[in-house]
Amino acid sequence: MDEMLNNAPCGFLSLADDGRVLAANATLLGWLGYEAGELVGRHFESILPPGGRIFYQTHFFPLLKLHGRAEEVYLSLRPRGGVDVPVLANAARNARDGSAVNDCVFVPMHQRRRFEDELLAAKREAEEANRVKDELIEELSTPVINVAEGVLLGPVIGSLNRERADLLTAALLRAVVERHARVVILDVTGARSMGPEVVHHLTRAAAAVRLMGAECVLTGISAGVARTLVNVGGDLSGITVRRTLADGLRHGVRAAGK
Amino acid sequence: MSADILKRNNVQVSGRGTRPLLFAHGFGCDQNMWRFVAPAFEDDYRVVLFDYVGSGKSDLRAYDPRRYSTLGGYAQDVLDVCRALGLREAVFVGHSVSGVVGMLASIREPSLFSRLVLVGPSPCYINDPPDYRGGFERADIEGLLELMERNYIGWANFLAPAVMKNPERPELTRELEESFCSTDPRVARRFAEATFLSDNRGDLPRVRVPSLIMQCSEDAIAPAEVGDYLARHLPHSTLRVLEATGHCPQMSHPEETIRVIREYLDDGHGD
Repeated sequence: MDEMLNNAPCGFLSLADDGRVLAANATLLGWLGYEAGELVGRHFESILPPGGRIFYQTHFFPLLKLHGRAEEVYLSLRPRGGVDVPVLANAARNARDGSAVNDCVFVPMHQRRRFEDELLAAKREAEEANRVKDELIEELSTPVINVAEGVLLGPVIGSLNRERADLLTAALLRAVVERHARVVILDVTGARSMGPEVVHHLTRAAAAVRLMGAECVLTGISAGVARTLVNVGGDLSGITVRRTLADGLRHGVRAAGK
Repeated sequence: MSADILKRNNVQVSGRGTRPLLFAHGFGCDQNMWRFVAPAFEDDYRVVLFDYVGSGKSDLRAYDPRRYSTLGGYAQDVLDVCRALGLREAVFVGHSVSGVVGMLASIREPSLFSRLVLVGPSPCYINDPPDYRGGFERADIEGLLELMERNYIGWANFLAPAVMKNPERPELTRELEESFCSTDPRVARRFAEATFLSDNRGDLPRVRVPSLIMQCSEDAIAPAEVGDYLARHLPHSTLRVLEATGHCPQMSHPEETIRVIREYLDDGHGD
């Protein structure tokens, strides 16, 4: 091996297609604690941790073979003793002496790895925070309140899409069973906008509530929602309608008390 | 429906034969893994290549995290592709984890398959002392997942969403393909977990379709004793130990891979 490459400030390996080491430079041998010539003939996997061997076989080698090169691949090299060396690898397939060889260059990345550790930790934290937030929003967006003995209130506030309508239906049905409700008031006073599809879903939710043996009271229908209801031909038969939430509450308490 | 599946799984059909030969890729790459082997069968077979949903050029929108968190979900992909093409008595060639996927598919629908060719298969990668040595400890798999995560940190996190949002910009997809074969880090992670943390030893006696176990020499992922274990527990199986070393003989030693598959199928096994 050329003296400059042998002592270059990077690790160098040349691999046959079957993974055998054809050549290794002194810099790499020094990191890994091997004597000159000692790695030649061994398999590249012998200087990889077990997880790295899988990665080599499933990603690194196919990439090299199919695309002729692999760039900026993160690997860990396992020295004879001591701690794994995190490296960034670049590799290229070259033809030498009539056969294909895979030349690999490794640069240690201790500092950068620490930085990436922090990045990864921050990413995981952000993902976790997002998950908690989503859960909270889901919970807040479909509250079901016990307003009187046997009477549940499901206030719909803000804009309602299909997903939320489904969640609301599920929450209502669960509550009917768990709290032995006899009347469920669906109040849409605070609903900002509801498309035909959502109105359709709400009427289905009401039908499901009735099937569970509870009465469904719809309150606070705005002119817009009323128009949509008529337009989609929403089936309100069997659903009690009251203009305001107060009317609905009075009705509910009476009906539940019977 | 069938057109959807063909698009979803990026199904490619070629060849001049009538007997179907289906190639299934393993974890980490896509149907390109068969590039050096599949053409050799085009004279005699109807050759079918596909990508599992989440890999290669499959339709990522069809990815369902729950379905693809177990190998059964991947087996369903195989059955879907067979049905979409109306295949019957197909020869199934599966690399690595696809060996088990093919077994699971054949247990569900035995009539769809005539033979299974398992390239570097393993029913369980984790050691289960004292009687079973899969080759890995759970911590090793954690190491793999960490390695994958770190390799995706650089580009895939940023590129994958861009690709999904920009179907009209194929150059982004191309760039990604040249970097790695998998497209999304979460997809790749789930595939890795489904692959390396599954234990399908209990399914082996239920496989009725005859099979060829192609065991590589010095395969760190599926060691020789795993091949022996399979040969003992898989009914109607034939074990062939290859001269090829490593885990991807179809890429490192395509000639031997082609020869061994052909010998098995021509030896009255392929009918």
